Amino acid sequence: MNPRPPHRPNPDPLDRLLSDFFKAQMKQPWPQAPLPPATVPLIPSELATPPTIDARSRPVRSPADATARARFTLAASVALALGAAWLFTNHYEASHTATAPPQVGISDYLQRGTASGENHPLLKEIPKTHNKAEVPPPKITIDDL
Amino acid sequence: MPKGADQPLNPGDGSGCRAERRAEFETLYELYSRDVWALAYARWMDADLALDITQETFLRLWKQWEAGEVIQNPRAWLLRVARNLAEDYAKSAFRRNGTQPPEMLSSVRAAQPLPAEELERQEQFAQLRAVLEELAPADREILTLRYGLDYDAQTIAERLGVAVTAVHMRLSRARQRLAERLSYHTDFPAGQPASETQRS
Repeated sequence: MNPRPPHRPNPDPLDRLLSDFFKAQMKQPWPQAPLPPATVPLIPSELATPPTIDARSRPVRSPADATARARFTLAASVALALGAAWLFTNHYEASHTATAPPQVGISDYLQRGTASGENHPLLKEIPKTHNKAEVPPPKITIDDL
Repeated sequence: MPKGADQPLNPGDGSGCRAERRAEFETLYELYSRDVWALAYARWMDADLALDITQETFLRLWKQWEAGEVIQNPRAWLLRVARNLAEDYAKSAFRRNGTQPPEMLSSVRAAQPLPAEELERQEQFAQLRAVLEELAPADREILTLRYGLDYDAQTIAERLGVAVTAVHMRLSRARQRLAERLSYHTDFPAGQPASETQRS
């Protein structure tokens, strides 16, 4: 009966090299499980003390506070913009109606107009200007020169 | 008793005791964190990055628990998340613009002077790393499981969800490809690919 050959865990140099390489890559000792987020305090204990003059000691706002503040700012900005637009529009309309002279609209011309154009207000004004054109020019005599 | 990989997990159910939940979390970490690390390491060949991905993967598991989600197969869930995180890293700006780990830049991990033996060892590791990076990620993964975690063929087959014979074949081929490239690039003697199958 042949004796059993001695056990060689890593007889091949490549096996040994691979084993050494991968073992060296792994952290020793293997790191602990990560702390779940809820167990990590949002505000460190040294920052949770009452505020002092030092800026580093100011309390840190939680993410929820920051979000609420941003939303409030956005809402206030929108309200301000809407209010300004409303005020500006009302002021403009009031001043516009107060200063503008009464005018005859185009619709008035159309309502009073006829096919022949006899009653049209613009046509009525034409003879007047035409008559002014028929005024004889002033006579110039030699004495005037 | 800790819950296994095939049992659904939802620590939000029942008593909701935080200590119990934390214990289950640590059990899962002890069971699978090295597998997750091996997967990430095989993808990027960066031990620190792989550890970061491992920690982030388990933190996401905890968040899923906090959200009350039932995880049917925690090990599969962890490996899937780790794989996604590793792929996301490829798209990140840091990956495109960042720097390389020191051992990849100079083949020497620390700036301090090293003893001659350690220096030679680090040089061998650097050569091996360069050759490993030329291999397919699947080859690196099976080599990491075999040599980094010391898993036998049966365990690797369970971890990868393949047959034991497939593990033998893939391991032998990966090792052969590695030995060929290593002997081509360096004066390292080519190993015998059959020895791995016999050893497993």
